[in-house]
Amino acid sequence: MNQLGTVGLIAALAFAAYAVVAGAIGGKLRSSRLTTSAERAALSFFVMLTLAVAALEYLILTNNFHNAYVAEHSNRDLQTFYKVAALWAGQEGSLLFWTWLLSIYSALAILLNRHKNRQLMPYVVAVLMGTGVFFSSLVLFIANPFQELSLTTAAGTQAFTPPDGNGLNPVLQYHSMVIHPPMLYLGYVGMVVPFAFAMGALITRQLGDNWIRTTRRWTMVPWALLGLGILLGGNWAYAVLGWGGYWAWDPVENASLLPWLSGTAFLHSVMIQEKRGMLKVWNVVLVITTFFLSIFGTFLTRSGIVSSVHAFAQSSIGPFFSVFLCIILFFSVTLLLLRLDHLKSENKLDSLVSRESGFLFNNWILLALVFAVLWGTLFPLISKAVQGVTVTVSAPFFNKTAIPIGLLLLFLTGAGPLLAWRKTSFQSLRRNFILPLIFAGVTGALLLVAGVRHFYALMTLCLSVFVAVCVLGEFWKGARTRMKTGGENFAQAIYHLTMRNTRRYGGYVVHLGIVLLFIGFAGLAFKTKAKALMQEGDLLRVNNYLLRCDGLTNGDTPNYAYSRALITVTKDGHAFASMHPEKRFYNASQETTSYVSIHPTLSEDLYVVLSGLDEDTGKAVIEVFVNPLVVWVWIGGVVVFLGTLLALFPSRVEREMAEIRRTQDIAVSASDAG
Amino acid sequence: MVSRNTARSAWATPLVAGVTTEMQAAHHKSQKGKGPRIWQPPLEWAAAALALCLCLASLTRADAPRKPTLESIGDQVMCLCGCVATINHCPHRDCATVAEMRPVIAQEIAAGKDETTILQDLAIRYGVQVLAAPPAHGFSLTAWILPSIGLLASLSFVVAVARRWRKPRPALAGADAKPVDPKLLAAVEEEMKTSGMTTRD
Repeated sequence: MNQLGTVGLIAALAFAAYAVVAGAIGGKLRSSRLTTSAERAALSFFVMLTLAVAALEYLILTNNFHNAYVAEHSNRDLQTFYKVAALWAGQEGSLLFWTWLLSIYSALAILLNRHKNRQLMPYVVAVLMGTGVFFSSLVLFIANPFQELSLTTAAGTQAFTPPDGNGLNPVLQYHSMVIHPPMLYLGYVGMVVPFAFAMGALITRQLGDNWIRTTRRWTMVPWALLGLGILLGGNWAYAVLGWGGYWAWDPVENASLLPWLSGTAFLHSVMIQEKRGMLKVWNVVLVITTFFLSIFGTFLTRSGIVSSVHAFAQSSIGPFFSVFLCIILFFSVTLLLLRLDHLKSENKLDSLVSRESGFLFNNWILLALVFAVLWGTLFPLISKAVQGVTVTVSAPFFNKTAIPIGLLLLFLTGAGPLLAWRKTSFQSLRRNFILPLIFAGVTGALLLVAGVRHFYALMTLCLSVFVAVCVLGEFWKGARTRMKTGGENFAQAIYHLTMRNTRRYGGYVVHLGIVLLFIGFAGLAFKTKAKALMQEGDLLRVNNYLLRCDGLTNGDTPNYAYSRALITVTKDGHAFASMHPEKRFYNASQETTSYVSIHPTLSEDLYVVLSGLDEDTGKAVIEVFVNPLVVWVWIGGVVVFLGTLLALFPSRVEREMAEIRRTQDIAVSASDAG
Repeated sequence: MVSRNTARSAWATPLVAGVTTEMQAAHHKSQKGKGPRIWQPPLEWAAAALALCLCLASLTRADAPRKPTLESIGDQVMCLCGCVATINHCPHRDCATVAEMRPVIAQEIAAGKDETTILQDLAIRYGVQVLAAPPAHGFSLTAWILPSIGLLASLSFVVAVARRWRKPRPALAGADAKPVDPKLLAAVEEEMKTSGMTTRD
């Protein structure tokens, strides 16, 4: 099976290399035969990588510890669910998985464009497979997951198979961790498709609306998946690491946020190009930036150039990524500079107070946030290079720099949709803004009366109400018009309104999700923490919760041994919950990890951690956090994802347009035949 | 065969977009010279002021003195055991570094020192990398000010670009505009009314 996997990788590399050459020459010579051949090679690249992935999964599932990767990242007693996930638990497997996802995206891009964008496709295939050549070379030559274990003795080198493997890293043995990396990778890798279309458009000088319309959906899908991946990562950190938070501004977390932010900027600015033929250069820059940051994120995770809690992913492949980043930058920027004449704006701004300028400001804020996060992430390196001193840049820095920018962004999330294309009059501004501003003001006053004095929390909650009223107002106004003119009831009106323009109303749902996320973030300001040594019968009061320790039990599973605290919680004198935080000791890896007990409600989470046992007294060390509003972060993330799905769904207008185009095509074909 | 209704609603968006300009131009033409001009606040400057206020607010908060606690200092001090977390969040059970640093911080608090002084003392004792955020002096000051400078510089750039891209004043544009066909205008208004569309679509 190891040989089969290696053969699959060699064949995949060969097909990718051929597809690059055939695509580039096919595009240059306008040879449809060569282009088709390149496309078939790219599809074969997918088939060969699927073979390699299937071979590695087979080795993992059958406990073949002769394979070095399987011995390192799996063990006999690991649940099947986690064994499947061992594919992306280590460097070699995750790079193979990454390359396989790239091949899936490439195959989909080719199959969905087999009758469209024919001039672009040879170059799109060449760029996709160029990336494929890089990743499959890495997997084959630098981080091969099909290496076999051997033992060198005086008698020579012999094949070696250990009786059991080292097992999966204990912190990765959590359900959201199983889907977090695939989602994140689908987000990172997917950004290659818009990049490939942008490069194809630049090479062929086909820089009209076509490539931008094609890539919008190809950007939305990885953008949504990247967002979901970030959210699942936060959920994992919250439930497993036991420090009571979900985001620590770790360099690797920041690396995943950067392409998501620049992708958000692109998804907004692309609308200006579609509607007004403006910002053409800027959109290409954003596509390049997003792809660059996706690869840069991987480089940051793998290279170990910055200290991170994700140190388990580090290796020596950083230099290869830096070379690849230089190639991407040189190739794309040169191409962009050569095509500047073809990227002239078709229109001008009618007014500074318009939807277009709203998008400009949105892009400004998002890119400023990208800069602030990138600057903070890289500052330890810069400081070391300039003054020879390593400084730490962690949460206190990012909270002070990123929160004000985030608040501006939140404001624009509500204000942007109220601006009209071309020009918004002062009267219209006043009419649209007055109600949201009143609601925000009343919220602020009520919060002040309630004793809320935390500046950022107050600002966040007021702005959240402002944005929510702005966005819900848009739904209400549209529905009211339909109810008046069409005689529809409210539910019908909302449904038809949304389905008529899924892109617009899906976008509004995304904005509502962002509001929920920010409400969740605001809760961090009111976090409470307590810590105590407890044994059976001991009580601990935290806010209005009373925790009673009912004892400590120990147990064994095939995979780990555990100590479990039994805690009964009452709230305001009433029975509230029974909580069982655990400390686990994994047999294979000989590592200890916490399993936090969380009781979520819409207002706050009660979060109980068994930190360990006190050596002197033998009592359980119990940490308790009361985390307000955390659940809204998860709900907000899901709403953002669902809103994106809605925006991806073809609207009634789009379907009608497609129908007309299809009818016209049939008519043209018929007249040609006649 | 495309039905009449399908074709009408499908083409409504470009029709509306095209006519909006004519409507605006006609509106400006009809308004020219009539009544006092309504003052419109320059929104870009309002946005700049808002950005400036938030930046200042963040700096003010950064400098605001707080009564130190073991918890608040612990969030700003890195554990040096190699865990890349603050001493409040070190994942290691019975971490020796945390066990050594906590009493030091507790002593400083008991001595009545403020947050800044405690952090300075810890930086002298353990090295500057013990601080979870770079100190606001020397080269490290650039870490703090560059994001704000970047924000304001890019804002000026965006405003400058927006001004450069702006069309000539609407009154001038309106002077060259053709009058709108009233039938077309009525059709568009009817279409917008029935579909719940606005100029924000």
